[in-house]
This record gives sequence, structure tokens and C-alpha cells, in this order.
Amino acid sequence: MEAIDEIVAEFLVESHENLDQLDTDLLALEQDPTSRDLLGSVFRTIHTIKGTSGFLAFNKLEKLTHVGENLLSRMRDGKIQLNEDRASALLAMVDAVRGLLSHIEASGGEGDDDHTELVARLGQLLEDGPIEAPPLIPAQATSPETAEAEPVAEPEPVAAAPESEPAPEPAPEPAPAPTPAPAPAPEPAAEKAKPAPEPGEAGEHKRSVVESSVRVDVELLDTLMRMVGELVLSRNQLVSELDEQNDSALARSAQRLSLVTSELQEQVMKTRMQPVDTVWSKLPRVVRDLSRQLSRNVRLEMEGRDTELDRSVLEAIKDPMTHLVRNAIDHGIEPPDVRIGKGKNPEGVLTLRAYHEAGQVHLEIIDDGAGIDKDIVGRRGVERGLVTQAQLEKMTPREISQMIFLPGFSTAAKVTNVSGRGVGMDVVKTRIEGIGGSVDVISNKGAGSTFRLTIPLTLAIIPALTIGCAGHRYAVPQVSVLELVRLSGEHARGGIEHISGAPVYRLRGALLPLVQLDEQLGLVPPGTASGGGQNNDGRGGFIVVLQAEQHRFGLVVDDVLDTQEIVVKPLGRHLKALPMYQGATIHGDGSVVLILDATAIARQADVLSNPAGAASSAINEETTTIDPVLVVELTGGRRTAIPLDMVTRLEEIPTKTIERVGGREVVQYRGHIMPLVRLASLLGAYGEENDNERVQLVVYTRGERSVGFAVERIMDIATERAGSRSDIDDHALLGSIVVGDRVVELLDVQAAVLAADPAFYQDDAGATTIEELGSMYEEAL
Amino acid sequence: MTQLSTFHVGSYLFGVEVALVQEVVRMQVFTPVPLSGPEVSGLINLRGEVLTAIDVRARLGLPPSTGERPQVNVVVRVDDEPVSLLVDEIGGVVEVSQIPFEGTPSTVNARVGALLTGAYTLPEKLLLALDARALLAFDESRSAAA
Repeated sequence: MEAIDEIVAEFLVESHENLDQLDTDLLALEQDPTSRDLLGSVFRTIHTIKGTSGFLAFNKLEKLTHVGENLLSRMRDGKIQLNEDRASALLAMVDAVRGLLSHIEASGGEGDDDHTELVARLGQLLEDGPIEAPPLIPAQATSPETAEAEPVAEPEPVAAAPESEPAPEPAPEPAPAPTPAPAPAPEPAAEKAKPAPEPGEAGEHKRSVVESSVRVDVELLDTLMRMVGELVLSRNQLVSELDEQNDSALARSAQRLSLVTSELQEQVMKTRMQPVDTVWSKLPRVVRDLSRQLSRNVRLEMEGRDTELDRSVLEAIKDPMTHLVRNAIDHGIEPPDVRIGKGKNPEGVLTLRAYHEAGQVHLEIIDDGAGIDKDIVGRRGVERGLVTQAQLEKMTPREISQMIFLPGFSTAAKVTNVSGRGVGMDVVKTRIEGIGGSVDVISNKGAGSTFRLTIPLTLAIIPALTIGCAGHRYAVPQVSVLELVRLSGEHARGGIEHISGAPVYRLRGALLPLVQLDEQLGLVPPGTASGGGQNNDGRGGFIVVLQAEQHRFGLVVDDVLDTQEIVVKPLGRHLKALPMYQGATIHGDGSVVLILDATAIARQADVLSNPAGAASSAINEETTTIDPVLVVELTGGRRTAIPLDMVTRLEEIPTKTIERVGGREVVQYRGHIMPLVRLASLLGAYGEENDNERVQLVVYTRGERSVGFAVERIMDIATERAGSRSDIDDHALLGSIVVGDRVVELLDVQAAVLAADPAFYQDDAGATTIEELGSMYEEAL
Repeated sequence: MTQLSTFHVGSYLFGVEVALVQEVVRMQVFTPVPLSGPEVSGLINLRGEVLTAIDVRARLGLPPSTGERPQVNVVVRVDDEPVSLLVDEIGGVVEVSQIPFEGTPSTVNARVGALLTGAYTLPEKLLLALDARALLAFDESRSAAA
């Protein structure tokens, strides 16, 4: 009896796997109805299930698969062709088989579901002649009417999951020449290796995937993982005890053990990673069924399907992903006639994209449909009492789009059975945030929407830099790290400057805002930071140049230790609220090391002047790049911004050292005479003439020449909000930009430089001009 | 039949349901978590799993341990998340179903009292039944604000 149970269990596992394959194959077959390879594969799968169910006396199952097999057999023999009805009937059969299998799994019996109708339908489709059946329209045209209406619907050759066909026996006919056109669905078929083309032997044939991989129970993997952890700890204890014994032979053995353990740990951890395709492979079916049901014409494209995620993460994104795909078809992509009316291709494109970036996994669901109508969203938001009319008027279009994630918000005019399933956008958001991720939407009315899920690395394996700070180690994901700068002796003192109290470092001519890690972590009181800071008692330190969103900044740390692959472990709920940490990892010696979040540090240290603007620019491709600017104040409180890459030094000089030469103000600076220009008078700022004893200078040096801009006050380094530059046709101004919440004029440095020294850019004439100025200076004396 | 695992913190004897206790770990190295609240003594590595260690003394508003004797980690699993409770010393498992159970005694301070479901009057001492959920449900946003 037990032997039978075991056979049944094996049958169930194998059949479930085969059915997933079958879904994929059938959809691919719709694209390429004549592919003998696919037909053969589908046929064999059904044949295998039929054969085994007969053997195990599952009669309903046998009957159902038998008629399906007949249908497929006739198609394979070219007597009839796959059309939409037949494909639907076959897919319905796959579902019915699944239902039966679930029953068998749950109760051992086949259950009471009646499949006679389906059997009859399959039988009837068997009878249709080959000519009568309308030729199948490739899946891009799911509804016949629109297929006629659009010229594009002409069947195009699609690759028949072809390339990999290492069939041991000669294929019945040469494989079709590979076509570059990507078949959306069938790729996994290629991976799973084709069964031998000889149908009769299908029962005995195992997929060749068996030879290269083994199915393992996830629980077993988890157990292995825990045990490896224990092994690591025991190893560590052993090593530390050996250190006291001074036995070199034993030490060598321990060293080997140590290496093997680390390797084993790493490998076992990697077993938990799976490609995102394990979730995506279900979606072509969802898209097909839904677009049929809603009479939409949708092509599904997937990019980055081999992007790996931890299986726990995959599990968590499954439902949100499905919902977003459904939503994109239901609310996004318009019916073909509407699309034609708008001058769009009747076929909508739904793109799924996955990639790793900045230590996170990004998943995007992009449709080219109607987009979000912000007026309707806004109105509904007010109707539902989510915002007031006054609030709405102050909201940016982006903020309005985000309202769709609020609980109790639904734009569906009526609750359809597609979208009204209780999984609203708010649930998507909650779920994704539940695993520490975020959801964002960018939408242009009429042009489509992009939903972006940013999933944390939870449990993913990433390379990270280990740094030391205040006696502790921390890990920084390598993806955020741009470069390392060593601060030794002189550099430590000379390299760090302060602008309105905020430290900056001059890196290859550009000023880099600095953040003291020990200060940010509250390990030292503010202002007394050690690493490379003011009082570093000659000790060096490092600047880790980090990228956070679109901004760069330098993190000052005491030590840079090493780079290693780490496994990100989530922090317990008591620490979830601390944004500075992405998680924790366990180092080789068994100690726990916190993983820092570059963006959160930048945010806390306030070096991201406008996080929302930067985040949107990451997605919105039209925006310009973001440049850091130095904000200065002129007389009368007027502010202007100078692009930071045009700033070489900041100086403060006594007012009395300024001299007048030939109507120009100059100052002796580093052995040269430097012309000055007062920005206030250049830009025509009104206000009281300043009588300060000292003048703030912004120095721009190019080669041997320098020019100083005299300003009232140096305010801050900030980042201009992407796309916010507007043109002003004014003397010495490039335009205005938004810095923080203020509009600031952007200085045309070149014009300002020329105002101070008309010959500044004449390289060849450089020396003479300085001499000229020198002689003018002497004359004046 | 109710069994409580008991442990000592300060002068108190506490008990939590034995089913919640996963294990007791003596040796431990803590990784401090900067910016966290005083209740979090650090992170520990429990066979490859990163656990938050909660300083029960801090949670109860008691003075920190004198450090004369190493504290003990009692690993409890609440809402499917293991957390380590740092206590002074562990006691034994006490069968309490036959022992008179009372409400929270008025002698304990309010902060401790709020975390109890009640008390069992053992002959020699009062055994305070801890509400493990309440113990772990401290204000998380406060630590975030740091």
C-alpha cells in the first residue's frame, strides 16, 4: 500500500510540474501553431498523465486526458490545426486536470467535479475539418474583429522555442530557422530541455533536466542552512581554542576545515536564490485569459527574467505582481478600438522588467495604456474624503498619482470581477512594504503607467564593503560605493573644508559633501567626529564615496577592512523602524555586522536636498541630470547658485586687502593677482553696501588664472531639482532653479568670469594679462 | 496543566509559558545597534539567525546589570519571531496549575505590573507571570526617533 502511495505522490509532483510546462507550451503553440516540437512536447505530457492515471485507476483523469490526447494527436498529424477555440479547450483541460490532481492530493480520490461537458467539447473540436477552422491568429491578436481592423495582425513567424534541441534522435523535421522575434512565453521550455521527439516512448522518457538538477524540499534547504550556521560557530570555537595550543599541524587542519566551512556556507546560502521567472512564468497565462475576457489586445514582454531573488521574497511578490499585471490590463491598456481612435497601435504592450540596482531588486510593470487621469484621481480622492480640495490643489501631479495606493481608493467605475477581488492597490503597497520594499507609480495620461516595485535584498547575497567605525564593523553594500579615498596626514587636514559648518572634500576639483559616520550613528557627540575630521590626532581615515539616489557624498570612517559576499538577514521588528540599517549579516567569525543603508544615511545627514525630486528623476527619463550647486547670498538677501564644478576654492579675505587697479578690484592671491567681481553689482542686486571687515570669496581657477567672486555669505551646497531649470534671459544668469523650496538664480560663471577678466579664456594670452594687471597694479602704487 | 519557565531579573522571579521558550543560551557576543533604544542590548548570532536581544532590566525600568555575573539569553518565539530576552539567571520549569493565581500584586511597580498577566503565590516567593507579547511590544518608533 505504501508503495502505491509513493507512486501516487511521485505522479502528482511530476504531473504538476508537467502541467506548468504545458501551459507555457500551449501558449507558445498559439504563436506558432505548426511547431512539431511544441506539439510533440504537449502531446507527450498529456500522454504521460493519461498513461499513469490509467495505471493508477484514476478513471476521470484518464478519460479527460484521453480525449485531449486524441485532439493533440490529430493536430500533430496535421489533420487539424490549433485555433483559438482548441487552445482554450486544451487550456481548460489543463485546469481540469489540475483540479483533479488537487483532489487526488487532498483526498486520494478524484472528487465529484463533472467534466463531461469539457470532454464533449474536446470531442467536438476533434471533428472539425482542417479547412473550416479559421487559421489561428497569433496571440498578439486575441479578438478576431480587431485582427481584421489592424494591418499589423498579419501572422509573423515566431521562434518556436527552437534553439536548444539536443534531441538524441533525429527530429522529425529540421527545426525552423531561429527567428529573432522574441516569443514572449516559451523560453522556459527551452531551459527545461526538450523531451525526445518520439511520442510513443514518452512514458519512459525523463526530461533531461533531471540529469543536471534535483528537486529539493525547501524545508531541507532551511535545515541545511541552519546546520551550516552551527558548523561555522563550532569551527570558530575550535579555531580560537587552537590558537592557545600552538600546534601547527592541527592549526593547518583547522585552517582547511575553516575554508571548506566558509565555502559550504556560501553555497548552501545560494541554493535559496531563484530567478524571478518562477513567478513570471505564470503570467503569460494570466495575460492571455484576461485580455481575451476583456477583449484587449496585449503583447507581454519580459526583461531580466533570470534576475535572482531569495525565494522568500519571490513568494511575497507573487500576488502583488499578479495584481499589477491584471490592473494594467483592466485599467491601463485600452480596448483596441479606443487605441485606434487615439492613434495608437491597437496592440498594447505590457512590459515586465526586473533588474538589480543599488543593492535592491527593481521590478517594473510598464503598460502603454491610458495612464492615470490625475483629474479623476484627484476628484475621487476628494469624494472619498482622502484629501480636502485645498490639499488637492497644493499637490504635485506625482503626489496625486500616489493616492491610488491609499486604502479605500478605487477608480474602477464599476467593480469588475477582474479587479474587484479584494486585492487593491493599498494591499499591493502593504504587502511590498511588509517585506521592506516600496511601490511607486509614474504615469502620463494617455501614454501609460509604470509601476515600480523596489524590493530589498532581504536574504539576498550581495558584495559588501566592511568598514570600521568607532571600534565596530559595519557593512556597506558595494553597489552604493563609488570609490574610496584615503585621508592620510596632510590630506586629512588640507582636504576637508567647511562650508557653513558642513564639511566638504575636494575630490578632483569637485566638492563632495561629507558625512561623519560616527556622528550619524550617535557614537560621538556632533562636531567631535574622529575619522578624518577636525581632531583626528594625525590619524588617517577614509572617505567612502557613496551614491544615494542621484547624489554623491562621502562617508568618513576610521577604517576600510575588506570586501566580501554577505548574506543579508532581516532585522527583528524592534529594529525595523531604524532606517539606517538595511539588515545585518554574519561574518566568517560568527559576529553580527550591521548593514548600512547609504540613502538613509544621506537622508539623515541631509545631503539629499530634495529626495522626492531625485527619486522621480530616477524614473522619469526626460529630466536633466542633477548637478550640485553652491548657494551664495548677495547683498539684500538675494541668492544665487554656482555650479559646484565651477568652484575651486572658498576663501575669506580681509576687506582692506582688496585694491583697485584700473577700475577693477583685485587681490593678491597665492602669488598672483586675482581680479574680483562683486556678484551683487554684476547681477544688479540692490541693498546696503556691505561694510564687513572680511569678504567671502568663491574662487574659480583655470590653469594659472583665478577669478574671485565676492559674495555676502556662502550658504550651502545643494542639489538642483531635476528638470526645474528655467531660462531667464538676463545678464550673467543661466536661469533659475529650485533649491529646496526656493527659486534661486543660476549664475552664468563664464559671463561672470569675463566680467572680471575679459581675457580669462584666452589661454595663449594668459601670461601677458597677468603681467598687464601687474603693471597696472604697480602704476596704481 | 500550565508550565512556566522561570527566570530572575533583579529581585523578581518571572515566568513565561514554557511553550514560548525555544532555548537558553549562555555564551554570547553582542553587536551593539547604534541609535536603538535602551531596551535593545544588541544583536546575537543564533546559529546563523540574527536575533535582537532585549534587555529585560531596561524594559522593566530596572538599573542595568552590575556585570558581576554574565547574563543569560532566554530565546522566546513570539508571533513566529525569535527574540532573545537578556535576564540575570534562569530558574526552572514550574508547574503552576495547582498554585493559586492572583491578579497583578499591588506591590510591584506600575511599569512591571503592566507587563504581567498575574502572579502565582509560590510558598517561598511570588512568581510573576509575564505577558511575553506585552514585554516585546515596546514603542518601536521611539528608538527610530533617536
